[in-house]
Amino acid sequence: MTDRRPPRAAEWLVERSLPIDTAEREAVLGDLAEEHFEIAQRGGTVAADMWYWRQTIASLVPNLRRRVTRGTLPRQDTETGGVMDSVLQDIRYGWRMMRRRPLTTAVALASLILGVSLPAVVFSLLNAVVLRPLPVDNPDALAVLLEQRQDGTNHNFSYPDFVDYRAAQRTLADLAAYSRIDITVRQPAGSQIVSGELVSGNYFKTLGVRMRFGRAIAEAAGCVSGDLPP
Amino acid sequence: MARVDTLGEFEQSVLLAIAHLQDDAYGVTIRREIEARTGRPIAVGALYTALDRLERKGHIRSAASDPTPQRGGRSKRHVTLLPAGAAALERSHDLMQRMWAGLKPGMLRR
Repeated sequence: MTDRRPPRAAEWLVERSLPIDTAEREAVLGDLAEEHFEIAQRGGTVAADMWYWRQTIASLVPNLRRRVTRGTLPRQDTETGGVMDSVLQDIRYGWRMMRRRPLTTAVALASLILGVSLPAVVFSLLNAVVLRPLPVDNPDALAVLLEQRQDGTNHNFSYPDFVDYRAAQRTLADLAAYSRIDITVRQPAGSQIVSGELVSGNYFKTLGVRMRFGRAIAEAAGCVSGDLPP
Repeated sequence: MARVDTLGEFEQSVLLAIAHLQDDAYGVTIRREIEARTGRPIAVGALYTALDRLERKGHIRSAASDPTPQRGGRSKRHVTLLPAGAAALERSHDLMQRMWAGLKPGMLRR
């Protein structure tokens, strides 16, 4: 008994090159199988296989072209290939339309980029300023202590006052002092003014902030002049 | 001047084969009909490309029909010639006749 099935590799090639449409694949593969069967009956399997391979090679380019261009208009009275086929056809159709109308595509893309990026920027700002907790050990327990003068305005107070307040207070776990300052940094290329902070020796310990490298200023640094971390 | 839909040579062959085959027109029979009448081998892929184009133009209608064991249990794409297809064929025929009027094939050779 002879094998009258079409050569599998050729059949696979035809199937993969055809448009993704079940009815379409059925029709083409069915036609080829039918003719292969009849040629095999008349002239034997070798002749039938050779015919099948010739058809496969000659049909590859037209099949692939149809696979790319098909789907611009719906066909009637044929089975649909399921949801996935429809989605793939939509993607191909969308891609073709985008290439055909570059200006419309550019405007749509610009609107999309703005529409997506603007809320993202606003959210990242909100997240940094409002939503995300401060990177300290216990952010909820953090408070800023200011001196209120007789005119009702809030002000910083002096370092000696800070030392007194720290020694006398019982409400908070600890008090740490800070004050913004502009510092001139001397470099080989020249001097540069940078923003800095003057802080008390217990600043990092009170906040619970650990150094990634080296060590922070020590508690006693607040008392000794010129005692700086390495 | 209004643009008239014209048919290519292969499209005419396909439509004429469908007209000859009437109710038995599908991939295999159409291909054989063209090969038998023209002596030119036709690739299945090329035939289906033409069928797609003709269907988009509204010249034919196709529908899936019964599968057979020889086809591995697969259905056929059965094709019917529509009035628009018949009209397009007649226009192409008239056009060629008008172009040939006054000429004979033997006259063109020296």
